[in-house]
Amino acid sequence: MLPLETFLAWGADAALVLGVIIFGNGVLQNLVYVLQLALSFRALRRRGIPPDTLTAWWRLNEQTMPISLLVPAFGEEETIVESVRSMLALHYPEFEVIVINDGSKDRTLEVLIETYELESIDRAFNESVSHKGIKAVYGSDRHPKLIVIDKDNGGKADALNAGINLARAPLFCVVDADSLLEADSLLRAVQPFLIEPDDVVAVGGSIRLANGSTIRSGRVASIGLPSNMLALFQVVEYLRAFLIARLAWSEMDALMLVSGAFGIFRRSIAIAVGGFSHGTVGEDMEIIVKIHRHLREHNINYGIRYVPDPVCWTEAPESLAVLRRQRTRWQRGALETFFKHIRMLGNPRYGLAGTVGYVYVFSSDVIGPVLEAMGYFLMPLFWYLGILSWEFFLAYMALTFVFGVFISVCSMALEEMELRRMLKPADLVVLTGVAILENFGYRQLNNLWRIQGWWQFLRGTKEWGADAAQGLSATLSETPGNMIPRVVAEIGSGSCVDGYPNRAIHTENTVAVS
Amino acid sequence: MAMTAFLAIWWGTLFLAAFSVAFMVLLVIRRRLLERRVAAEEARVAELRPLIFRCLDNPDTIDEIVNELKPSDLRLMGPLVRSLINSVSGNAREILIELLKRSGVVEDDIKRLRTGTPDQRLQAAMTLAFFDSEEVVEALDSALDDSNIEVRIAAANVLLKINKPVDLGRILDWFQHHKGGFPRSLRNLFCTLVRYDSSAFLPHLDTVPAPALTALIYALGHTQDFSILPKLMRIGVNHASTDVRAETMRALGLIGHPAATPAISLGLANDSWEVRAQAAIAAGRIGLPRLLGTLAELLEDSEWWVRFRAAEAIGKMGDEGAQTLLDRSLGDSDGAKMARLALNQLGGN
Repeated sequence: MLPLETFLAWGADAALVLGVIIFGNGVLQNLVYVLQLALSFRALRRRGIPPDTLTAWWRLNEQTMPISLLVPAFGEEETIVESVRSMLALHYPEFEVIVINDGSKDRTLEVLIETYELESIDRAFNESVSHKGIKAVYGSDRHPKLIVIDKDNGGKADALNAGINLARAPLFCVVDADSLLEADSLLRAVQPFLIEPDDVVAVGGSIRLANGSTIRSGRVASIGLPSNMLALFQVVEYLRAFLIARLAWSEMDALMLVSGAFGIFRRSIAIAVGGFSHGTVGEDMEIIVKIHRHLREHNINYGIRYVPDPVCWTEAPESLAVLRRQRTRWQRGALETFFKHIRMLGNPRYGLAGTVGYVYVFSSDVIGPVLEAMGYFLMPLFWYLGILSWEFFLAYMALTFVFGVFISVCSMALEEMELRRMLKPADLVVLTGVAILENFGYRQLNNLWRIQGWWQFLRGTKEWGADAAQGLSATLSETPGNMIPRVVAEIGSGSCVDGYPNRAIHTENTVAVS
Repeated sequence: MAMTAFLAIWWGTLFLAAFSVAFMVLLVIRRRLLERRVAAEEARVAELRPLIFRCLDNPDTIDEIVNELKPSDLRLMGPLVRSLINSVSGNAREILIELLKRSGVVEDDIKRLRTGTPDQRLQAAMTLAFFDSEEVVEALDSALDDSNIEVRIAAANVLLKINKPVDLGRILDWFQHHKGGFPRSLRNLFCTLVRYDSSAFLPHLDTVPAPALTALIYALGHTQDFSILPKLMRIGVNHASTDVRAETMRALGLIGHPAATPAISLGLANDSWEVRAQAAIAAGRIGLPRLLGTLAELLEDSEWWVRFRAAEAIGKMGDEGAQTLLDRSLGDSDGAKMARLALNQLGGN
């Protein structure tokens, strides 16, 4: 039997070690944020973006490459006609819109056929990647750019694979059926392919939240702030995630996620990696990791880039229940992908994607939520018990709560200095306040959901949940939108076999400190 | 010592957070000032617009209008007049260009081309296309050495537009130590340059590395210069790079001369499926019934894209092609399926 004092001494030592690990992970993550901030600032200063749509057109229209827009649709009866109309009206020289009706149980297909006068057509295609059976392909003489695929239900990844097979363009763009695209989104997002045509294999675009904005004819007519607090938190969260984290990872050649709501891929590379993986809830993160892995293993030079200008608008959930389901799903998706490709972790064979990007995923998404949650409970306890000094505890509090304010406010400062796409001065003041507030409650709540996601992952939960945020359907007509949130961990979303949520946005836990 | 470090983290982090919030407050104030400036500029633009239209109605008033301009109007006049220039032609266009010249916008553009941000330099280079003066040519020539490749390419394009073509060798030198591919804007530049003098391309075809050669051949495909066919055919058959061979087949198809038949025939039998597919496209585009037999065999190629392109090509060869597809459409092989699809498309057309 160990004497009680020895046992207590060991316990104190163990607590100290645990405290140092929690603290160390926090320091590491904050150092990464500072690096990301610097890299993003540099990238934004350097970027050459045409000032307006007309200039973009004159400058780029002769260089562009054809693009197939892939629009998976499940139960989109209310919104699909307007979404397709706005996509057909994009300013881009050569593109086609391929809507993939993934076995919808409502009248999604019928309204498309009626509105666009579609007829069954023969379209030759190669079964390059696998997917469930295609029942029919539709086209229209009046809308030659539109193709509609009617297939058996197989989930978002499956629907995208069908779209990849039928696409004829060298590039395809994945778009959520209820996303709103900027008129010149393709012109802006395709630029990395034009500048580095031999190297770039995928490009992610910046997603913004349309909650609170006015939408007219399928376009965001004026940007506004949501009235819902949860939506406000997410506005700040998306800004930080897209403007700082994604851009910085892209600069480091370690971007691990291109959002499923808007991403352009080289078709040949998507086929080379077998298309989108079935049976995952994070197919958008997974395909990017697969691409990194495939090209590194074959010693092929490549680039995965990110365009910071807003190209796509979506709606964020405004209720806690829906947001919780979304975040737990994202966490599961990140974990699934992480463990599926765990051999990349710290492996120099995979370049910066393995040694930096994947290590960061491990730090922020795998152990991050657990360490952060432990920190909230244990650090005050250890301090109370006298195991940790008050100075140590203060430093921990600074890293956990205060540093997040710095990063979030800086992301808004970057937006205001370099993009200035936001709102009125009064809205900037509101968002600055939200950026401070989110660190005290919202972030902790998010971390709780991530822990739940971990638990669901361990239990092997696969379903999406009946979530589905409200979608942009309510705002496709001329009404002000009303939406919401902010996240953490670079997480992916994916598809369900039966249906899929209209939102596939992922953000990074840019301020999470364990 | 350790205690001091922890306290430093605490105070340092507090300082950073406070600093960021203070900085944001400054940005909000700046935004307010910017909004006021924009409002004032919009009001001034509303005043300037009628002046410009007055000038269009009566060109003799140009000097009078220029005298009315304030120094701060220079920044507004440039974009305002340029937006109009793209919408008019003939005499009206000349008047607007003259107005820009006399109001000092050209000097402003030249200054921006030399000292602006990359985007400003790019924009300035493109807008200088309206002017053909010694100063403009000199500024654009200097911009050919700009640190930004897109600015260089834009400057070269503008020089071409005002009939001051840039030496191809000088452009190729930009990429002497370049590791990645060529930007697509460069292909467009080559396409313009090749129309000016395609013979200038020929000496470089034997000396440049594969990525540059691909871009040059892409441009050559946009000429109707049959004299380059022998050289292109040789490259298309012999070059070691798959990309170069495939691009050459594409160029041969675009040029569209049946004299390319021997090279295209060899292309149809190439080891690389990309080359076979491009050769099939070329055969269909030119219309080479002599190759029908070879194309029909490609309907059973192991690569889907080759089968598809071969079927498309056969479908473009009139009754003879349709009959070939019909003959091949029986059975359940991959080729028969593709022939049936092609026949369906023919029927649809």
